[in-house]
This record gives sequence, C-alpha cells and structure tokens, in this order.
Amino acid sequence: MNRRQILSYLPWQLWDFLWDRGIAVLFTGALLATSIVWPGYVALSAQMPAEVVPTELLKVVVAQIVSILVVISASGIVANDRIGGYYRFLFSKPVRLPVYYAVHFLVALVGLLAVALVLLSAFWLLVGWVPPTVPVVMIVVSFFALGGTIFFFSTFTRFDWALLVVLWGASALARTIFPDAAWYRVARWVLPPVHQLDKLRAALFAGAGIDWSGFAWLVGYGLLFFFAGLVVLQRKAIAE
Amino acid sequence: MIEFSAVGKTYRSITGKSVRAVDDFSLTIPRGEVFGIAGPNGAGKSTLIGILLGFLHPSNGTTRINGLHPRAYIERNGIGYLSELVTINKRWRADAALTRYAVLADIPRGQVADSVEKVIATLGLGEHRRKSIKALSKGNLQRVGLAQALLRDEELLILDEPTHGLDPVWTQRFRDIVGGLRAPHRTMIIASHNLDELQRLADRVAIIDHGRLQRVVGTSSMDQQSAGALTYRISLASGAEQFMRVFPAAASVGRGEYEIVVPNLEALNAKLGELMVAGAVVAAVVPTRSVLEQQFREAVGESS
Repeated sequence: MNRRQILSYLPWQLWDFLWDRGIAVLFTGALLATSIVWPGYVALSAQMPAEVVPTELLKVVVAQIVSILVVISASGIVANDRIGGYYRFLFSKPVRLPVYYAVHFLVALVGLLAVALVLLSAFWLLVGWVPPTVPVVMIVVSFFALGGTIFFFSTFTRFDWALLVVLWGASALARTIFPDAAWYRVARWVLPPVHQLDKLRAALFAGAGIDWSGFAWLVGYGLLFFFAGLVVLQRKAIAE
Repeated sequence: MIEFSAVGKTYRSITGKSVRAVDDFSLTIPRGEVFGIAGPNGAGKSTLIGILLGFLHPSNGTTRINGLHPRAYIERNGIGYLSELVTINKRWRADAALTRYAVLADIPRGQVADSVEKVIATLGLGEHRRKSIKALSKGNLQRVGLAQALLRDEELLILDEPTHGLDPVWTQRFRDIVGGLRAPHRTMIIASHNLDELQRLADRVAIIDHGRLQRVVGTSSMDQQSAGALTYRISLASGAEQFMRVFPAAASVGRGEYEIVVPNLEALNAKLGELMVAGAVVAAVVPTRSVLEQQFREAVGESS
C-alpha cells in the first residue's frame, strides 16, 4: 500500500468512521454529558463563582466520558471486517493489512477528535468557554492507551471491548483493593496503568507539572499493544 | 504460476475437535490457463481458495504464486477475486464501492473514474449504480462483486461460484466476459458446482472431494476423445427402422430419441454416416454427459 493509495482512501475511511461510529459517539457523549452537565451546573453554581463553573464542570465530564467514547471509537477496527467478511475484497487488492489498519486506527482518532469538537462546541455554547487543550490531550492520550489495547484484542477476537473492560477493570480493582499486596507490586508493571490517566488529568486541569515517566508508561503501554496488534496482522491469517 | 505442494488444512475447535478440510493437495497451474475447481459441498474448495489468497494458513505444505507466498504476491501485485459470498458494507453505494476498490487497487487517480465506468457498463450496472449495496438484488450484487474483480487488467483472477444468483441472460453474458478475458498472461481459477459451466470455460478441471484432489480432467475435444466409452442421445426426424439396424443396441427413450454408447468419436461419426446414407434424417446428437460430468460422478462416487 503506497502513499497515494493511503491518501486517496483516507477520506473514505473517515467517512465510514463518522457514519459507523461518529454518530454513536456523538449521541452517547451528548447523553452522558447532559446527564452530568445540567445537575452539575445547578449544584456548582450554588457553591462557587460563575467564572470557575465551566472548568469544574468540564473536569467531571472529561473524567466520566472520555474513556467510554474512546472504547466506542476504537472497538472492532479489525474484528468488524473479519466478522462481516469485508476483508475478502479489500485484501485481494495490493494492500498490506498492517498498514491499512494502522491508518484506520489513526483515522478513528481524527474522527473522535472531530466529534469531540462538536460536543465541546455545545458545551461552550451552553455552559461557557474553557480552553480545549485538556480535553483534547486527554482524548489523544486515552485513545493511544485504551485504543491501542483494544486494537490488539480486535486482531483476534470480536470481544475486544469486553476484554479491555475486564483488563482495565481488573487493574483498577487490584489497585484499589490490594495496593500493598506483594503480588500487586509485581503485577502493576504488567496491568494497564489506569491510575496514570487520573493523575494526568488532575495535573493538566491544575496546570501543574506532568509526571513524564507516568505519561510515557501510559502511552507506551497502549502503543506496545498497538504494535503487537500490527505484528499479529502481519503473521496471522485474517480469516483464521 | 500457482503451486500447491502437499497442502493440508485442519480446523480445530476450542473443544479439541478437528476437521481435515484439505489433505495432501498438490497441483501446479501454469500461467495463461483457465482452471476449474469442482467438488460437492464441503469438499474443501473454499478452504483451498482461502489458502490461495493467504486468508488462511495451511496446516502443512506450501502454496506459492509466482514463487511468492500468496500474501506477498497479492500485496505486491493484487489479484481479481470474486468470493462466493459477496460481502460489501451494506451502507456503501454501488458506484462508490467500486471507486473505493479502484483506489485500493492502486489505479492512478486520473483513471479511477474511467475504470469504474467501464466495469459498470460491462456488467450492466448503470441503473443500479446509485443504489446502496443492501438495496441490490442477489444477481445485481453478484455483478458488483464481479465488477470489482475486473477493475484492473489482473494477471490472476479467482472466481468462486461466479454465476451464483445470476439469471440465464447474465450467466451467458458472464461466460462471454470470461471468454474475452482469456489471455496468455492471465491465469483464471473458477470454482463452481456447475459442471457444464466449467466444461465450457476451463481448460482443465480439478475434481476434489473430502479435501483431496481426486483427479484433474481436461475439457478439450481431444480429452473427450480419449475419455473412453461415450453416451449420446440422438433425435431422429425420420428413419427409425434404419436407426435400429445401424445401432442395434440403442435404447429408445421415446419421442423419436435414442441413447447409444460408442467407444469413441470416430465410431460415432462412422455410424452416423452409415445412418444418413441409409436415408434417416438426424435432428440432433447430444452427449448425455460431458466427460467432466462422467469423471465427476466416478471420482466423487469413488471417494465417498
């Protein structure tokens, strides 16, 4: 797959994302955000000055919905083509599977950012202006961390999102329940660094310094899975 | 061009059960040949094609296209492929789907529209071009599938049940199209249940059953001649008495039609000459079974 093919096919992939996922992301995001924004707006307005309400509200929204939107956007990237049988015609053309799906993955990120911009615009209109930097950074980082992992699972199972939820959920639970257990001190290096997402979000909203080693661990974890997924695509037959 | 060497494929379920879909399959298909694959349901045809496309890995043995692993060949050159099930995203419009496949086929940007228009015209899809895939009938969907396989001048075409769902008009049209695609640089593989179709289109046909290559049958008249005893149905306009004198062992099947068995084409022609000299008027001479059909019955019968 050469650069010309990639660039010519990009608009189609983006269009597919917006139809297949973008609408779902938009509605899910709007529903979840609305359920948080209105009661939150009423509660926070009573407690603090009006100028800090948008930022405080956005903190809650970002914490609650970014991960969900990332899972919707990144799930099934490979599995859906395999289940639907769409791979048959796609890969009878001179196309390399890892390149095709790597581009697909990045297109999903771009599509997610486009939809997030629509949601943010609604937030600005209804609540007030907050710089978009923190939500955008959190979406990009979460996409690589969670999306990379889900992409790997997608290369061999249709239950990619379920495996991700189990893995990240197990990590969060283990950290909460067994933080001092000897086994956890070892397992924490293998389990997804869920807590780093919280740390990063808190640091960004506070304008404090970022823990770059934690940041690298978070993004590196997802990227490691993403590249492992590309290796699987290169070595494993897609219909197996 | 294509070489299967002792290819085997076993499917294993998570419960440990295994099914041998292809077993010790060896075959060479030279460049320029139109090659048929015939076999009953579950014979292993689709698995073989999956292996040839690199969508499945063989459990043992190797497959090569021009000396390359199938995926390496396809990623470098591309092929024309029509799958048995035409699976295209149902939301896509027919012409948009063809444009996408043309882009992926690496057709230069300036030629994409022309290539798409050409296959739309060839496959008679003009009135359906703006329909979504889900709105197409089975036959029209099959034509879209065939159209995407013909977007480029491919060196390798693999057509799996290509006339499945086509009406008689388009079945005939398809045969004309495939006939027109014959070229010394192009290899075509056609898998089909339709033996008559393979007899007309293919140079040779592999008969497979239970995942094994049973035999390879030539379809030319030369092969017909060397295939042993042949059975024909002869219709007479007049001259039943003369007929029974010339073919005393013939069996009447009613309405002036008889079935005869001859050892070869020379014997058939000699007897027909004798019959016509005797004054009988022959309306039709039709083989009751093609060589391929005969061989298929024998091969599948033997293996089951």
